[in-house]
Amino acid sequence: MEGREFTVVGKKLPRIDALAKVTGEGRFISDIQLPGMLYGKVLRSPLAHAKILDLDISNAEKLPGVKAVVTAKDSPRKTFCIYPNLANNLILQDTKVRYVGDQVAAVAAIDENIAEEALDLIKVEYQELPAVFDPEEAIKSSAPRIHEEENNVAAYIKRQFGNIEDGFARSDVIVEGRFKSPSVAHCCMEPRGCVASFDLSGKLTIWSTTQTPHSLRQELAEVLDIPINRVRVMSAYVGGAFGSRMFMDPIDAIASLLSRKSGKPVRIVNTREEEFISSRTRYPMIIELKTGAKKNGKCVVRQAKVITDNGAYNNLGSSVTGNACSKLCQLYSVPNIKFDGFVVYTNNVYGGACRGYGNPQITFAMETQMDEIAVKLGMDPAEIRLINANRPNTITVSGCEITSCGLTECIEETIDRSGWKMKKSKKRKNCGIGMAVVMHGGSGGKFYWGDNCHISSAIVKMNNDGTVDVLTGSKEIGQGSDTVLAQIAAEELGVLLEDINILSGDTDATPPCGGAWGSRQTFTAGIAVKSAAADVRRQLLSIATDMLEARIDDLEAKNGMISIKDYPEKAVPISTVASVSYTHLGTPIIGKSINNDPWSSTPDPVTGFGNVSSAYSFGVQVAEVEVDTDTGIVRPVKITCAYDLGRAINPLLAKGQVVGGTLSMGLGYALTENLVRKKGKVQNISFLDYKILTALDICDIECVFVETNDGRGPFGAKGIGEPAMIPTAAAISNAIYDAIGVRVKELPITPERILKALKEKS
Amino acid sequence: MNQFKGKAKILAGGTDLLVQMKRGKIAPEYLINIKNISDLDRIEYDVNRGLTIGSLALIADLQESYTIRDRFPILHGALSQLGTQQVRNIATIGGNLCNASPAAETAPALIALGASAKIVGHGGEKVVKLEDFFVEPGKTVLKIGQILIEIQIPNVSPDCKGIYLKHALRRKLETAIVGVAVSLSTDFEYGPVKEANIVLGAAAPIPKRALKAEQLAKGKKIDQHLLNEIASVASEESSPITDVRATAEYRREMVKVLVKRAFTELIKI
Ligand SMILES: Cc1cc2nc3c(=O)[nH]c(=O)nc-3n(C[C@H](O)[C@H](O)[C@H](O)COP(=O)(O)OP(=O)(O)OC[C@H]3O[C@@H](n4cnc5c(N)ncnc54)[C@H](O)[C@@H]3O)c2cc1C
Repeated sequence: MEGREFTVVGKKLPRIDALAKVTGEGRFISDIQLPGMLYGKVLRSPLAHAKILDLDISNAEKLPGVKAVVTAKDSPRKTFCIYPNLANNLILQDTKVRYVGDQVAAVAAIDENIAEEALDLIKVEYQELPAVFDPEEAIKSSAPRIHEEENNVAAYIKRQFGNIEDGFARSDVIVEGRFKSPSVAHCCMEPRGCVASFDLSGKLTIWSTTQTPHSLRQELAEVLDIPINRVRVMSAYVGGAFGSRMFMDPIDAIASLLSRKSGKPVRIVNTREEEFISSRTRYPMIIELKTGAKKNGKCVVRQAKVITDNGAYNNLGSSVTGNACSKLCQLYSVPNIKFDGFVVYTNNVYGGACRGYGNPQITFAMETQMDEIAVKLGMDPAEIRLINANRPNTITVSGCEITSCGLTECIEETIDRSGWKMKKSKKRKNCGIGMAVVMHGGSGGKFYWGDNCHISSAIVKMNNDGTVDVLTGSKEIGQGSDTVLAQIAAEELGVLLEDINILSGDTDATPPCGGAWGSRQTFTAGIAVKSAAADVRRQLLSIATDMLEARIDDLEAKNGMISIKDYPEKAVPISTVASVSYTHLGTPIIGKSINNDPWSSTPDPVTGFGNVSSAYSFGVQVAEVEVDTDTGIVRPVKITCAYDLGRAINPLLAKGQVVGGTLSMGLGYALTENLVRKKGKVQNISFLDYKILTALDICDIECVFVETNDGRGPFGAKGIGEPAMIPTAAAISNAIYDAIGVRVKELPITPERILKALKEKS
Repeated sequence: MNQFKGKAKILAGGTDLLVQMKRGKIAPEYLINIKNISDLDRIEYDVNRGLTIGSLALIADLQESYTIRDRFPILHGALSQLGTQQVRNIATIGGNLCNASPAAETAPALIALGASAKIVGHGGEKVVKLEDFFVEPGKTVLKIGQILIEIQIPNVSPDCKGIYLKHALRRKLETAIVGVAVSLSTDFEYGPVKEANIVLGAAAPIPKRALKAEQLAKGKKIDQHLLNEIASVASEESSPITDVRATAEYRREMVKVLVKRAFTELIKI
């Protein structure tokens, strides 16, 4: 589609906020200091399951320096969840607590120490209730009930496509296994936080580490019971989110309540301990998977039973489980599928979105079994993936329409670049190489019913000196979306990158947008920005037709000039045209665009059929490891990746996603990360014992992009954020098998699990 | 210190103490900063008396000492594996020992070197062997009013070699799952072992010598079979716990692995 030479897109440009970040000028939540601002602290439940018999805040209120104490009584007691029919969580609990860390009350004081002291003065009388932490226990009819529901099954997702009996009957090999994945934390560099400030008119202004400002605006309006236009979510730098800051956290609402009650701005920032205790986690899943394939390697049937630990409240458990099912159908386009997903309440903290949204869990299972099938058939694991690879312009049984797809090229690239064939044939002792593939939505999709979620819109204004303002409701959270969107606007308008001023996230100033989730912003917000910029360009060209005495179709805008295509010397600066639009014509140029993602559809709630995303991204990772069979330590040696991201609008930023996703989140998920709980209480609440890998533990990475130039994406681009981390665990696991002949089917693959597997083998 | 009757804590580098206070594990009413006591950070070597280290000597300074690197490589190895550069820049060796963590990095190496601790305060001055210094996790023989002022390390005979191995998940910034220090003296490369010190960290409530294993090695020419036995005995002598970092079973297994590796590094088997 876009065959032309680009001037801004596709270039390795430094991020536009680089200077602000490296100099410390960029303001994060903890840097925001408003006059009279108070410090909020939340009283959290020490028990995993208990009735609240009595809650006495009188002593806390009397402590000098305390300006407000809030409990559920100060809130409209509205349950919240992005799926309104599933809502059963409250911003403050007053009848029951359901996990260690549940919010009971909160304090705002003139400093943090006083606020903490005041928390100690709040008296809560609990009646402890029996609790359950293992979803396989919780699902039993004898288990303690966590909500006033018939049982602890929060949702049951049943999907059936094709005919699995037939599929298994026609299979030459069948493999079966049980896979377990842990609860892990996102470990954002900046803890979750917000500054909330109600003014006298009753309008709330809030700075938050959210990744979805427009959704947060709506959610706050609902739980606080005020009109949407009484809430303004401001823009601030955000130090990472990875899904954890998708949608409202109770502290956003609690800080707002405290501000309303005290009449002062209130800042709440989680401690690192609170991040580990009460922040969203990746949903742990137990996956029983059975896969069948023909002798020629073609995978023909998959059956999965999944038990998801939903935690104490509904958030995204059923959606994430549903997405795991989507991937079960989509990857390798398997024709016969059965999926039974049980989303089960436990007295653990409730999960949320986490880079990959159910896909890392199911990919670990699916891609391990692809390897097992290859072994059984005596095939090269790379070969079997080439045989099964998704192809462009195909439709899966679940109704997902794959348009651009470079999976085959990705596999071939990694085979070449990693030296796969040589390494597979000449084995070194305890060293191994393994491959895993990912298919993921590259454009967000229609997952949510909240009004703003799948929309992106943009406004582009041309100033009279030729500079440009881009207003987008998208959210920069460190991934570089402001830079990418500015590049898209500059390319479309034919101006320089430095002529673009971008404002994102401020909900009073920017038009609605679902925000940063589902690897969607480059695609979805990118389309909106590109179309709004195209609108501006058309208006500019139309004014220039008179000035250059040419037809609009003969004009082009490039490098700040509008010229006649074949006579570049006949040109007029864009700034001159812009100035004319203001001063002579009195019609400043403003472009707008709304992208409601017309190609995707919400999957049918009963059958799950539908094209959930407008574009799909693909990738391959080849991992090489060395295993110490005495200690069980696995050292990653190198990872070679290839990704089909349509087009890399900014190859530097795209590579940043892959490097971070693979070497930090991916390797951590594979090897070390795990929230260890004892009776629901997290035991590793600091980075000493919650092991994210350090720069010394990670390995070399080589990354190449396969640009398939997607027909819908802006300049052909699709998302890369999530795909970056999804296949790593499976690739590492397969490499471990190659090295030492054992498969560990529970993440993380710890030294103890390796030794145990080795023992069982011998 | 006496006047505060146990309500006070000594503050050296604070890299253990302040973390514990922040966590709410301890809440001393008074902190006594000893960092201004002059001369407590000295590192002195004497051919006759050996090495003397003031308790306030920084881990980083010790790590950079050529004397330690060349004459006491086992200690140098332990120091280099403690924390990160930032931590080593403020952490003291006295703090590492007095904090009495079973996983404290310097303890196994120092015990293997036959080090002693000089204690001052309440009731004068005395010197105890470092292997008798620890009582239980978080507790040493120090009584209220006493401080550790010096660590004394005798000279090492030229036929003695030692190594400290730390086992952990990450390469750096880790608490040892198990640490093992071994020092051996032999007359020549393949000769029998004259003296053996095997000290285990994070494998018992306190840093602990594996005396039976040492006994087994003494006077013998070590072959693979004997080494396996030494390692198993050392493992039996350990009494590790299960915690968030590892199970007791795994720790016991790692004692075996590390003892074997240490011997193999030091002598030809
Ligand atoms: C990020 C990080 C990483 C770490 N990594 C490691 C590691 O890899 N290995 C390791 O072993 N440790 C590690 N530690 C722990 C710590 O840094 C060391 O134990 C350090 O040597 C403690 O020394 P300090 O001077 O900071 O002690 P402090 O915290 O000042 O004191 C520790 C304790 O000893 C007492 N004390 C100190 N000096 C004396 C004295 N002279 N007489 C009597 N009592 C005294 C104090 O009252 C306190 O109870 C780490 C710590 C951090 C924060």
